[in-house]
Amino acid sequence: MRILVLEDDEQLGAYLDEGLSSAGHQVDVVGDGRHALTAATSSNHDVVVLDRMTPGLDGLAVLKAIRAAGLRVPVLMLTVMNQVEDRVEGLDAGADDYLAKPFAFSELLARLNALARRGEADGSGEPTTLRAQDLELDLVRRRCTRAGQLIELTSMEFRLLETLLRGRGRVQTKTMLLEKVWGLGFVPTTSVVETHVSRLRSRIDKPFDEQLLRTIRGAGYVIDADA
Amino acid sequence: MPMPELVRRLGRMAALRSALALTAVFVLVSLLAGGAAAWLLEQELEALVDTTLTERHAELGAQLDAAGELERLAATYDEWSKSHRMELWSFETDAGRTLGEPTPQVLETTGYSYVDLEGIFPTERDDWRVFVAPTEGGRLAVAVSAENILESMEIVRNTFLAVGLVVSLVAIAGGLAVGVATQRRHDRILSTLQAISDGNLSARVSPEHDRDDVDTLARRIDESTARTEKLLQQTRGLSVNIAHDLKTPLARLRAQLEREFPASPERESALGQVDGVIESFDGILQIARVEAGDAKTLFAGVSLTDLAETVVATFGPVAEDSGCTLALRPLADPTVLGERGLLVQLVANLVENSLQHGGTSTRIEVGVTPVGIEVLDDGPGIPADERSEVLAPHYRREQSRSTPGHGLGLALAKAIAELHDAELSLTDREDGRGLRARVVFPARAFLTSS
Repeated sequence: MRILVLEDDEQLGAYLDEGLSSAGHQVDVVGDGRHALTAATSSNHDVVVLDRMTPGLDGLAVLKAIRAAGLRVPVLMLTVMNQVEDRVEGLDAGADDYLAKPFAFSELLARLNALARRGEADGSGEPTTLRAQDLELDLVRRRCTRAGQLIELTSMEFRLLETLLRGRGRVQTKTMLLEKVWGLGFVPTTSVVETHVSRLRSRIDKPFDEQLLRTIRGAGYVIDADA
Repeated sequence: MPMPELVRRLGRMAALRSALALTAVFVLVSLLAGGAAAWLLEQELEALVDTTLTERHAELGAQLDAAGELERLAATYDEWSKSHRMELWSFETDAGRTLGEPTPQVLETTGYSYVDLEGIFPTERDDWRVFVAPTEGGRLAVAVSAENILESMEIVRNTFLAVGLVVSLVAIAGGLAVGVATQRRHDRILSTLQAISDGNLSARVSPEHDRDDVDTLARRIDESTARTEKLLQQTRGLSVNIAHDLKTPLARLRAQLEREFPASPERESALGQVDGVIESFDGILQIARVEAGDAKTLFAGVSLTDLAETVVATFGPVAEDSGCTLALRPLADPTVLGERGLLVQLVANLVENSLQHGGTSTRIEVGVTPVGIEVLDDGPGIPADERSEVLAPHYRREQSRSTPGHGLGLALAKAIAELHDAELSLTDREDGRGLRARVVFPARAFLTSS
């Protein structure tokens, strides 16, 4: 996909360019807010990454201008301040996601993939049942079955599985899961995600031959798109 | 507003109260002074009349003494009476004969008094001032019409009452006006200070004049608030700048490690160390930001039971996996005004503290009470002399140096509690077995009582 990145730190911009390109994306990196606004409004990007503090126009102003121009392109804000009030400010201005600097590259990649997919999914309607091979999650009756066998899940496990199935084929990082499943804006000291994932795995994978829930080392978890 | 509430509120308005008290004292003193003046004037008037009566009594008494004068005086009474308007006399001899004005009721009195004598003169009033005393050969009464003196007294009294009423009304109106105006200035300062203490540092009293010390007080408050606001902005700007100036190089470092070095245990270890630095850094910044109080603008109703359920559902499996238990004990379901995300973090930090320091097979309970939320464990607890220190940033207990965490969890918990004006305390449990971490919210934080 085509990604526009506003990052005024040259070295970091170069790394982002290189990293996203090697992940198969087409990348435009600009270092000035005004250029970012011109680029965003003149060419067609699948997703936009805006650093919060940049020369010319700051990221928040660029975001507001993009939204004022009626563009619905998914926007991820990069910020050095990762506080709830900063996040609310960014999301109120029309940002779709928020990532604190410094970040793991895998985290950025996972979030951009999720954002681009969200853009595509618009208008396709909400599914009532999520599937992966012989695993079925009925969102209306709150039931999980695999190979026809009913599997009991706690509400947290249900939400975890739902999140992984909705993002099928895309890696969900720990912090993404903490936000989406548990609503936590911080990373707990204890291994919350690992524990819940391992419990979910023991219910949906352990009793069966094929393992659906995969751990991607240093990145996160995924249920493959066509596993 | 019910009366007692109105009285209570009036009682708490110092300026209005003192203005009204001063007015009351002024009115009371004016009335007393006026009353005393009127009374003295009346006494003076009466004394004047009485002196005249005494002189007339002595004069007539002397004439009665002279031999043979009795009959002559009696015979010429009508003539005397004509030349002494509004006066009369009456004499009762020892033999029981009455001469002069035939007014036996007068002679029944003794000394000075007022007597009602009807139809003697065509006067408006029938009151007479009478003096009766024995004299040679009988009792002599002299009298003068009290019309003038009583009318004068009435005028004095009416004048005094009218002046008193006007003075009192003017004083009360003036007192109220001054009191209300001063009270309004006080209220303006008070509401501004309330706004400032609620975190709105841009609130100002902005006095309209510069007349007196209340205006000066208001100006000083405005100046010091402006200074505080500027300082806070600088501090915030500083923390944002530090964050920006340090986090961008850290981001570069992290990216360089990720991009330029092949995956290896050494790279993972280096990345882990960078992430540790970032985590500490975020923790310090977060405490600073929470302490700055910006998040107050995001406050909304938070159900404490719902919050406790979230924490128990999230950390329950983690506790079980390390051989501990985490249970919910809802004794109430209060809703408080707060920032949910931060409150979850507060309770989560307390639970993680118990998990890390409680040891294996610790039983942890998250309790919701009518006054707040508490986390209890049956672990070793914290020695009393360490309890205040564990709430300070970066304090790590000796035994916990080997366990993960950057020593910021409880300090952040305390900052979050303070943001909500709640009190975080760490004490021994009542049964002495383990730690009790309590978060008690102030009464005004509750939206509903359970």
